[in-house]
Amino acid sequence: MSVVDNIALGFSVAVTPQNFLYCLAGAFLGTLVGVFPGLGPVTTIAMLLPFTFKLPAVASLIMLSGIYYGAHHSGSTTAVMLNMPGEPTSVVICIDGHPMARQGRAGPALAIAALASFFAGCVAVVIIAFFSPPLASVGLMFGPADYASLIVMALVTASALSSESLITTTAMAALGVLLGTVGTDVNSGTIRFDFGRSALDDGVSFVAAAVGLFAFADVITHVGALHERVPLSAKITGLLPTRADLKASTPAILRGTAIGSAFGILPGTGPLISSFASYVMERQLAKDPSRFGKGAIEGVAGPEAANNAAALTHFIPMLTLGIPAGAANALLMGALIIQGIAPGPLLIEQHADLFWGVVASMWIGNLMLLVLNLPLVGIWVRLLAIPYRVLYPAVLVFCCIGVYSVSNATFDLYLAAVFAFAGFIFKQLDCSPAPLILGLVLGPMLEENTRRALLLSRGDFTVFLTEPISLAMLILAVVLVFVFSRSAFRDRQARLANP
Amino acid sequence: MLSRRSLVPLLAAPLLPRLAGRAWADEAAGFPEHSIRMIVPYPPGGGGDAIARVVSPKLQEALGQTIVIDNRPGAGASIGTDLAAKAPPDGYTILETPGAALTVNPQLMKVPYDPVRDLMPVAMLTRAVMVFVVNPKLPIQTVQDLVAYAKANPGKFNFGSAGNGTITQLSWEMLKLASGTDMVHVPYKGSGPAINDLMGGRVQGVVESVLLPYIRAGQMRAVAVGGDKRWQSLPDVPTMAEAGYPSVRPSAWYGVFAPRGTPPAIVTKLSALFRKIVSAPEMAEKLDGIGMVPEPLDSEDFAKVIRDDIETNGKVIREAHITLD
Repeated sequence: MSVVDNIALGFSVAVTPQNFLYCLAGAFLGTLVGVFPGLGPVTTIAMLLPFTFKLPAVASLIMLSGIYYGAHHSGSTTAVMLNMPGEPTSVVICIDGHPMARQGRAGPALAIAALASFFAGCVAVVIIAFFSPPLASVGLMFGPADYASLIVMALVTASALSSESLITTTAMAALGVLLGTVGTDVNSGTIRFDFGRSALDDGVSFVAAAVGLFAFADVITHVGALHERVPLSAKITGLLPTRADLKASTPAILRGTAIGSAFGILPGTGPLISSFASYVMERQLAKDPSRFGKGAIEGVAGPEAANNAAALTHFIPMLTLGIPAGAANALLMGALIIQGIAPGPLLIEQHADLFWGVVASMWIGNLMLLVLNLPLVGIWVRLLAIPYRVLYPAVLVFCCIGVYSVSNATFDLYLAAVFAFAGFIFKQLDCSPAPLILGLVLGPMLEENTRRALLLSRGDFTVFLTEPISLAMLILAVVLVFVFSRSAFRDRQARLANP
Repeated sequence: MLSRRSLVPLLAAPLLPRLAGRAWADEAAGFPEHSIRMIVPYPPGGGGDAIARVVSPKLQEALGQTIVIDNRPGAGASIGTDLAAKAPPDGYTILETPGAALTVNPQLMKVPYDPVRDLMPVAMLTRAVMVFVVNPKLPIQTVQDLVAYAKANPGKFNFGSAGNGTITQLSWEMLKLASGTDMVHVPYKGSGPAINDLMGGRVQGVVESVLLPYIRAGQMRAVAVGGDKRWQSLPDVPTMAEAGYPSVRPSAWYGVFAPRGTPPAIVTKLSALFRKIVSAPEMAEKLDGIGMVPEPLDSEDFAKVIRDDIETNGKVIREAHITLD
C-alpha cells in the first residue's frame, strides 16, 4: 500500500464517530487536567489511563494520545499565566511567556502558542507518516557516548538561556546537576544523599522542584510586594497577536518546528533539549537579545513549536520499534499491552489500522486543540484580572494537587516547600531557575550515559572522540561556548557604553 | 474518597474485639462490605500494573464491590510494598506485585518490611517467560554457541539488564555462573533502553519476557527460555535445562498478598477468586502476548515458591557478588 492509501485508511479509522469522539474527549480532558500546575502529560495520562481500558485498542490509543498532546499544550498555558511549568519542556515558555502576561499581553502569548503548536503538530504528523521507519533507525544509531555528548552540548546552551552573566547561569545549571545526583545510582544501585528517606530514592521530583522554584516562589514575591487588590496583569491590550507579533513569530515557529522534529526522535532527551535549543537559537539570532526574558514573543513561539513537534515525533520510536522514548510513551505502551497488543517492530504491519488511525487522529486532535484553545484564551486572560489575593490561594491549592498526584506522596509537598524558599532567595539574587531545572533533568541522564559509555568501552575515555556523533556534538559544544562568550562580551560592552 | 478510606479503620476499631471472637467463616461471609484497595508498587503501565488492570474488573464483578488500584511507585517497589505490609489486616488492602520486591530487593537493600513475616501470600497469578536473546548479527544460534562465543571473547560480551539487582540481571548472572563465562553486565533504567542498545549492537544479549514481537521480526534471536517448560509461542526454542544448564531457572512471577494477620477465611475467599480469574481461557490468550502464562497457586504453594526463590536468588546474589554499593 502506498502512503496515500495508508493515510486514507488512517482517516477512515480516525473519523468514525466513535474514534472522533474519543479524540475530542482526549484532547479536551488532557487540556483540562493539564492546566493544573504540575500536572504534565505523564501524570495526566497516568490519572486517566484506567478510563481507557474498556475501550477498543484503537480508540484507547487515540484518546490517550489526545490526552498526551492536550496536556502537553496546556503545560504552556500555565507557564504563561502563572509562571508554572507543568513539565520540563515548558520551563522555557515561562521565561518570556509570563513577562508577556504581566504586561497585559497574555492573549497574544497564548494565541501564538496555540498557533505554533498547531503548525508544528501538522508538520510532525507528516513526518511520522512518511519517514517513521528511516527515522527510527537513526534513533538506533545513538549510543550512550552520543547521548552523553549531546547532553553536554545542551547544558552548554543552558548558559545562554538568560541575560544574566554566564557564570550565574552555569552555576545554576551545575547546582541542578548536583541535585540530580540524589537518588538511586543506575550503575551500582547505591542510594545516594537520601538522608534515610526512601521517598528520595528515585531522585528529586522534577514537579516539586519546578512548582517550588517557579510558582511558589512567585507567590511569595507577589504577596510580599504588598500591592493590595492589584491583579497579576497590567491592563490587557488585545487578545490576538498583532501583525508585528505574527511577523516576528513566523520564522521562530519554522525554526522551532525543524529543531523539534529532529530532536524528538531521540529517546529521553529529545523534547527538552529541542525547546531549550530553540529558545537559545532565537535569542542568538535576534537583533536585540536584551528583549529576551522581558516578553519577547519569539521566545514563546519558537520553543512552543519545538516542544510540540518533538512531543509528536517522540512517538516514532514507540510506534516503529516498540521502544518508549519517554515516560509518557512508556505509559501508552503499557496501555497497549493491557489491550493485548505488544508494541514492537511489527506494529505497523500487523496493526495498520492502529498506527495510521492514531497518526490521522493526531492531526485531527491538533486541529481540535486549536479550536478549543483560541476561544479559551479570552477566559484565561480574564482570570488574570482577578485580584491577586483572591487568585493565589487557588494557585497554591492547584499546585499542591499537582505535586501530590505525581506519585501520591506527601513528601513531595514538603520538598516543594523547600524549593519555594530556595526559589525566593534565587529571585532576590536575580538568578533564573531555568538552567537549574535543565540541570536537574539532564544531570542524571548525563551521568547514566557517560558511565554506560565507559562501561561499554571498558574505561576508555577516547570513546567520546572516536564515536562520530559524539565527536560532532562535542565540537558543537566548544563552538557554542565561543559564540556565547563572544555575545556575552558584546552585551557587556554595550551595557558599559550606554549605562 | 481519601477521607472515607482513612475513616473506615477508625470507625471499625471499637468493633474489633467483638469481631475477633466470632468464627472465621462469618468474617468471610460479609466480606467485602466496601471497596478494596489493591496497591501496585509501580506506576500505571509499569511492572505488575497490567495484570492488576486485567484482573480487577473480574474481581469487582465477583465481589460486587469496587476495586481501587492504588499505584504507589518508588524505591524499587519498597514504598508500595511497605504500605501494604503496614495496612490494617482486614482484607480491604491487598498488594499485587512482581516477585522481585519480596525475593530480591530485601536481600540487596534495607527495606522497612520483612517479606515473609509481614505479608501473607494470597495467590500467585502468572509467571513471566524469561527469553534469552542475542543480537541476530552474531554467529550465535544456540546456548552452546553463546557460551563458546563468550569463552572465545572473554570480557567482550555485554548483557543489558533493566537495572542493578533486577530479575533480568539475576537471570543472566545464573547463566554466567553455570557456564563459567566472563560477560559484562550493563544496567539500564528499565528494559526499553536495553532493547534499544541490543538492536543497535552495543550490547549483545538481553533476557526479558516481552520480546516476542522483536523475535518474530528477526531483530533478535532467541536462544533459550528459562523455566521448566517450553513456551507455546516459541515452540522451537529449548529451555535452559534442555540446553544443558538446569540451574538457570529465573523465577519471575506476579502475585497477590495481604498484610499478615488478615483473617484466613478472607484470604481463602480472595485466593479462590483470583485463581479462578486467571484460569479463564481468555486470560491465557491475553497474557501470552506479553510473555506470561497463568500459574494460579494457592496461599500454601505460593509460600513455597517464595521460600525457594529467596534461597535461589540469594545464592546467585552471593555467588555473583551482586551488591548495591
